[in-house]
Amino acid sequence: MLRLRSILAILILLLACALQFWFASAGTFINFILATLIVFAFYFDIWELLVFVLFGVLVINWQPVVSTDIFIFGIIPIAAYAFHKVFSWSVWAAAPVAIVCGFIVLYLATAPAAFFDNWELLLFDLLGGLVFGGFIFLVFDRLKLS
Amino acid sequence: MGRKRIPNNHWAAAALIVILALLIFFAPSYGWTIRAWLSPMPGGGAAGAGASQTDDQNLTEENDALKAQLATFAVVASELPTSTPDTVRAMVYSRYPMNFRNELLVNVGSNDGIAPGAAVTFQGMLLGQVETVFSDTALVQTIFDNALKMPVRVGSAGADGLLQGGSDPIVGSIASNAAIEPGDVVYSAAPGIPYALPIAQVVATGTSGDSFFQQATLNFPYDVNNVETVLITK
Repeated sequence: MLRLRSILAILILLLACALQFWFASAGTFINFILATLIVFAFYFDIWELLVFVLFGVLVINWQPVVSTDIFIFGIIPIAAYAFHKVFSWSVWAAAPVAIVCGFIVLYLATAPAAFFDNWELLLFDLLGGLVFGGFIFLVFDRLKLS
Repeated sequence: MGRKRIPNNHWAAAALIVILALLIFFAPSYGWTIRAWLSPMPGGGAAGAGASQTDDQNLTEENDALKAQLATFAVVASELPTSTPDTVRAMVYSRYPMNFRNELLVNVGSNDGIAPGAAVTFQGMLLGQVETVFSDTALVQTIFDNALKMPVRVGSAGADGLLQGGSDPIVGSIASNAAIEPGDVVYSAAPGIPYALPIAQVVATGTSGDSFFQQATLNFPYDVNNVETVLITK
């Protein structure tokens, strides 16, 4: 069961990567990878989560150094993990909250000026992240992989 | 009292963490390769074959896919600019993957004579400016980046304006009595960038929110998401 969960997670993460870059090629940016990593924070231990986060960072980093943007991108799922451990909310309630907070923190930290002028882009990004996060919940929940 | 044994999967995870960290810091090009493998081909992807299709249909679709790939390569080849002694041709390695910013990583850097602030053009039009230079790569801030602000001029009268970057760039801070109209060309007038490089064409004019200035919405004859090669001034 542990191996099935990990294999499924890798496939979902690859799907998230493909979706994010497919949409990006059309000029639409939705953080499927970040949403996936945040949801994973509620289903995996810190060791496995770190592997997924580092893979996500490796794929999404667009430059040869680790910038502040990428550092924040990687820290958010870790923070979601810590939040889950400390507060122990139900996954169905905590994960959407974590996704919303994670996206807002990311954009406040990386593009604060643009954040307030382009809130509709953020809304669309959030919606995509929440829908994809919900898809991951359903898969893990149906397969009872929590 | 026995020592607590570390589970095998933690050892495996630790090894993967170390490997991934090394790749991130010392060989990030592997990430770009994975990204390229997961991304669609520029200009559209190849058609896939359904399990229930016949062999003839499979061959036809494969043939169409190969023709599409050839057409794409032809497009890229046609975009390849002729370098001059003052410019360097560069390929786009990767792009900023999230909202609000628009940056490209190109495959030339300080070893090729590139310096920060250099102008980056695509098909003769100013696309952006080099922001950060590494030894073999450089980061380009395009005019579609929300943080970009650049002095420009508009039309034959040369009305001064400020190009505001973003997903829909506009030219603002144009004097209210300046004679600008749809069809006027917007061109560069910023220090450090060659003067009069075309940027875009005015598609509509209007008044700014505070009613003190005019502003112009722009039309670009290319899609920045499909730019694969650029020229960079030395």
